Amino acid sequence: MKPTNFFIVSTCLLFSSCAGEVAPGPEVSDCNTSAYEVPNATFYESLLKEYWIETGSPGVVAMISQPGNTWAGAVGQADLENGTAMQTCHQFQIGSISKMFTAATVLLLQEEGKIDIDEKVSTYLPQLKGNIEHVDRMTVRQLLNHTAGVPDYYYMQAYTFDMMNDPSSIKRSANEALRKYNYGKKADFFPGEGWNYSNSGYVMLGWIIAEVTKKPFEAVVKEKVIDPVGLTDTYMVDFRNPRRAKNYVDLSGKGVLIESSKYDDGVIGTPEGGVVSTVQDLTAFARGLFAGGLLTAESLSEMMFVPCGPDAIDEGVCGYTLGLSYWKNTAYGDAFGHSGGEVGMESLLLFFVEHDAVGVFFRNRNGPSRKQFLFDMLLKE
Amino acid sequence: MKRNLKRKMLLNSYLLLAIMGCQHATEAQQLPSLKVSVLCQGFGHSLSGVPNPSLSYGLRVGTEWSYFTKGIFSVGQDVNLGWYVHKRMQNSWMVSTAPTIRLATKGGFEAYFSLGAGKAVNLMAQNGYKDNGDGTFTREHHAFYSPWLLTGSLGIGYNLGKRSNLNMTVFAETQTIAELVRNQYTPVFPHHLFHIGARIPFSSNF
Repeated sequence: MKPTNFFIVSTCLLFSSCAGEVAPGPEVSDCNTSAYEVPNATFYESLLKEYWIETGSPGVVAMISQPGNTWAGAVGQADLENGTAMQTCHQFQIGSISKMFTAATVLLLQEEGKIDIDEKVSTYLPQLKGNIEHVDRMTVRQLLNHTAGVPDYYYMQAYTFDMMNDPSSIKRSANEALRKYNYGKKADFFPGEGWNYSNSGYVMLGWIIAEVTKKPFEAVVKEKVIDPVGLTDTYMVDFRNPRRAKNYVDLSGKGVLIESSKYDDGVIGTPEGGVVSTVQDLTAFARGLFAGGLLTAESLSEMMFVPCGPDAIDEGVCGYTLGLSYWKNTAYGDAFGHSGGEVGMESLLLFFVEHDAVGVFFRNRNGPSRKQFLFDMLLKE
Repeated sequence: MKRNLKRKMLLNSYLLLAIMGCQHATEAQQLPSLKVSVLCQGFGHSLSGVPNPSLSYGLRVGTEWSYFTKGIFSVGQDVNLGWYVHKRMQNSWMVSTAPTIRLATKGGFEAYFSLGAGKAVNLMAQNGYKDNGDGTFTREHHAFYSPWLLTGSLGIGYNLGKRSNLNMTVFAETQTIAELVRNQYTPVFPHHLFHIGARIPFSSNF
């Protein structure tokens, strides 16, 4: 037996790279800008551009709304492939800001007597007994404020793997998502004995909404929140809208972005991150919610109740109420709102109680960033 | 006495046959081999136990040689070049090498385990946009990144040469690849692949 000598011939793969400059397009959009010609517009635009360059985002949109001073601006691009300039009317996935919509819907259903937020979750979803640990001990309120101890699917390896390899494999109906990622998982803690941000908890809330109304979750949100507030550029199902800005992510960490809108397409329409909207619509939503027009004063008060003393740090249960994050003592005073993020986008909505001011921004790239620029805008007299 | 001698001779001949059988199996493992396998995303890959209905697929070609053989036990090394299509997202070229520990029975069955390392070139199925740091981006066709890999495999095989003139070993292998990219979404990017393939020794007269 004579072994045949064998050599592997390495194959060099030549990757033809056809590089081209992507035209940045108009720096500030011409969409509805005439409505926002305010004395500080130049200052606002310079802060927005500074933030845009600093974060390396393809585009940024922001809106601030104070009594007597409303401004919106956009910079950069909504779509790098086609060189589409970002405009203030571009729609974004708003990520977890959607939880405000879900929480408001739950409270509206409580006003109608269909949900009691202090009732046990298993009362509404008995089918979860034996599948979600402590489901007969946790309340709807605890799902709303993340104290139920339901493990968060978003940071599970199984979900990340599905999302990054084949987003179409992600099952988005509540029962499928929970079955795939949460059934049989050990609880993070006994309900009420800890705090852990949980998207899975909001999946359960969406399921409760659908169960008590006998309608699809997204239809109820449209009927209870989107339509009454008059949000005409906000949707949860028809996500093939051409005005939606594309998301971009730097997967390699080397400064090369790829379009990532498809990664989180499955999230659209869900209770934990399923709303697509504009800065104008989110500002209108914040006004409708915090001005008291959407919820009763009692419900709004319950939604904004911070169960901690004045010296407490705004973290955990002291930094999150019912679907609302709470920021204490910012440069512009106390604020309620929510941040959001999906693969390739970041969003923030803030309502400053003392100043009756709203600030919203989106950018179509994610990663750490200095959100302080919103405060700087609002602080400008 | 005669009877005992006969019994002893018979026993020795069985033992000799058994040893020859083992040697025959392991000898084949000593030869450098060409390895070819088709692969697909493994069932239950997401650790959730739920089969993925839309499998990704690929092809791997490589070679393997032996360093050391003793009885049914051998230690070798493989080098592979693989191509893997991720659903909708990216295609990957992977070069990897791994020491392999193999147990081969005289009947032609074998089991093996390998733990190695490699390098991947992931070609995204879309353009990339290089951030120039001034608000502009430069378009690059086929964005790619090339992380280091850790690989681990468990396999079983059967040498067809035991029953026919077809001298090859067919095998089934489950392979886990951890892609060492560190970012928010892929701190460790695992791929669970299932291979079915054949290993053919390079020899003219075996």
